[in-house]
Amino acid sequence: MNGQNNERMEQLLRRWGAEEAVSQWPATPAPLLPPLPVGRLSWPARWLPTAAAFVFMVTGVWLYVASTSPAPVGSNAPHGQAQAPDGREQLDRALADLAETQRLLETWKQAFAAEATRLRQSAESALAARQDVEKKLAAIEARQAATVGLIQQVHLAAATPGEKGILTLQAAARENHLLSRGAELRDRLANQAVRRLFDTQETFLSQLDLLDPGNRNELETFADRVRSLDLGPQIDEAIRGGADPGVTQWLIETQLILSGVRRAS
Amino acid sequence: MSSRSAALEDARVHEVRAAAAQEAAVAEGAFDEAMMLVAERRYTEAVKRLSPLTAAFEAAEDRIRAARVTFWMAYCQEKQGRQAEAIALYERVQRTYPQTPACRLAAARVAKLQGPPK
Repeated sequence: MNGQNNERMEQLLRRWGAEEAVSQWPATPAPLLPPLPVGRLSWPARWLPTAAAFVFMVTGVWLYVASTSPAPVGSNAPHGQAQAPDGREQLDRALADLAETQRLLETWKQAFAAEATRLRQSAESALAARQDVEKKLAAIEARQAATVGLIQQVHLAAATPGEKGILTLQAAARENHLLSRGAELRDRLANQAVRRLFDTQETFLSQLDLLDPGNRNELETFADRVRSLDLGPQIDEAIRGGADPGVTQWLIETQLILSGVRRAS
Repeated sequence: MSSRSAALEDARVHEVRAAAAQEAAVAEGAFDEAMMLVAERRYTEAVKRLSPLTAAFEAAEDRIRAARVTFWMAYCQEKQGRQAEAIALYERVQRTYPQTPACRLAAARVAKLQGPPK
């Protein structure tokens, strides 16, 4: 019951308010906005506010850009005049640096080329030296093998004294080219004592080569000469003195042959 | 008569040959001494000893020893630095005593002496 009364009261108040509003506020234009006589305004009057707003906006944008962007070179005459020489100096310095860099590069290039040449020559020399050593080693090995054969022949000569033994020794000396090798080695010798040694050994080898194996008397005389001029100690001294390997080899081989003569007689 | 003269001729030849053989034996001794001098590198003395020996071996018709003597004379000249004389003597060995052991050695030494300079 009470609720219905309230609802009734509310409806009455609303109606009253509406009626009051209508009576108090008649349908008139808004007091702050004067009526716009559109059909009667002139062209400038119509566009002037828009133009003013546009000018205002453009001015604002220009002021913003001018305040944030760096000052352009040359925009201010005195400042631009001061900057131009600085730029030239910088350019000159840059060009000088470039020239210096090029000069350094050229120097380094030449140094690298010289180093490369030196290394290549060094490598070539090392290779040539190695080949030379290998060649000499092969020659020494070949001669050592020949020396073993020579020892066998001398042993045989000692086992068969007389004509057969001498023939074996003559053949051994010829097969090992002792005379020609000795002559070649002698020409390269600087040590006079060793040269004299070579001369005596060469003389004995030549006498052996010319010996008549069938002549017993001749053989005995020759063997006596070899015995009386025993060069063993001098040969030992030459070898100990660091003689060239080829020289040492030749001296040893000739001594072997002549020892065979002493035993074959 | 003819047989007697033939016998006398034989005796004379025999005598000559015996003298030559005796001379050759003496020469052989001298040759051995010369060989010792060569081994001792006493070349001048060796040449003096060797010089008369060629004729002695020639007389005894011993070409092999005569060739040897000439060879060793050449060798002594070579060792004394007389290259031209040495070559001449080596060539004489080759010319006069071909097919002897000394001829083979002489040829080798001439080749070395006349070889290209090192």
